[in-house]
Amino acid sequence: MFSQYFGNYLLNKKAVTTEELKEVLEYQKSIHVKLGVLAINFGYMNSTQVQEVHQLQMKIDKKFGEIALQLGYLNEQQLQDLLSTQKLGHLQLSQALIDKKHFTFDQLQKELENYKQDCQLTNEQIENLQQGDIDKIIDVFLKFENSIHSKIYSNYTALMLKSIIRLLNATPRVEKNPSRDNYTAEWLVYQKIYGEYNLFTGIAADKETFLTLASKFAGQKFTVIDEMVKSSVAEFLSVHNGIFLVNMSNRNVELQMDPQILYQQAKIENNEETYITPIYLIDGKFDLIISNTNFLSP
Amino acid sequence: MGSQKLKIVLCDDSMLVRKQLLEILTDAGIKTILEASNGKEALSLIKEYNPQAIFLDIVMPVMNGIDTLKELRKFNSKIKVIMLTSSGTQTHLKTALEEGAYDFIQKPWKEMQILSILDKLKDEEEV
Repeated sequence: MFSQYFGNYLLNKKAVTTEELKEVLEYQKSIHVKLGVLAINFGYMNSTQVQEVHQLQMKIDKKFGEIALQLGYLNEQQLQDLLSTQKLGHLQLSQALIDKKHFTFDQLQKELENYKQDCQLTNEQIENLQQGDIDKIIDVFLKFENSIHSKIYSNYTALMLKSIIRLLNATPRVEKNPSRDNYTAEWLVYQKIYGEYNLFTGIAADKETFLTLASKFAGQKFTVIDEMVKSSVAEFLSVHNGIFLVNMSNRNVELQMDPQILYQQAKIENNEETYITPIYLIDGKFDLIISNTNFLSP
Repeated sequence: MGSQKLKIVLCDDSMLVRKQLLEILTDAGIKTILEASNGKEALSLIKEYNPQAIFLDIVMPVMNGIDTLKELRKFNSKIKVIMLTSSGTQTHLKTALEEGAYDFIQKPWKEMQILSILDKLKDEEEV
């Protein structure tokens, strides 16, 4: 998941091209992340120290970790952290960028520092991203603190990211909720949840992303918006909302939901209690809308 | 009674779910499969064709699955009702079981779950 965030950052900064990013994202699936790259990502070593260890490895038959320990660049705990992280394999993007010679160690270190700074992320937040902990990622990027339902919104959005992974087999990425004016959504699936509290939910997307969502959920390729496409996206939202209802029910909060409604050219009214979160997939972007009031303009 | 003689109603407002279930049931050899997009339509089909089982969604327009089940029990106590729903809350589960639902599947469902229920239905019909 970190690859999606850092990769997108590099793309926006034009540090890599779309083709290069696609190439490394594909390549990263097959590679093993080296300790030197991990050490830089974790901030345990700088690029000069990593290169020094690499040069020594050419002369003496010892592993990277052993040499780094001897030189005092890593302590035992840090080495253990790196070794266990290596198994998780979430830093393949950095490794792939090095392997494909898009970046040197120096450049990688610099870009990671820029990323933390530009996105105003702390080391802890970067670690959460690297570990792919969705609940914590939500806390890093999204702010619902103006709402009385902030915890519910946060849980709901985290669950949506998990639903995307589970039901669409896709990797989602969120960005900070932008402040935006009222707008018209090309396509909208809308569903009201009610009971101990009201929650108005929606998925808004343009035609292309709507088709992408339907295709991924139904497991078949759609090219025109027909009744089956509408039914697929509506069912995706309903299944997701159902999982949310069951989770709440397990916490003794009983909620119910109305059938979904589909709109074309829907006017979305943005008010203080309405949160519009753009969710990016590799092949599209949709808005997840949650509110405790009806966000549809007449 | 073999699978060919089983009559089953699929009641779900989602065209996608009906299509997916229809494919599974057809592949499993069920010849008579009736489709309804809400509870009211399902009740009419049940009165007319007297099927042995129904896959019944809960959140639907016109008439929801829980009301449909209650209404159905007023005139048919034999039909096996399999709730197939995204809304598997404790309240719905409890009500469905009280009204004599045969099984309860929370969406997203897996093909294996449907096939396993079909096997059970076939076995019981044969007995």
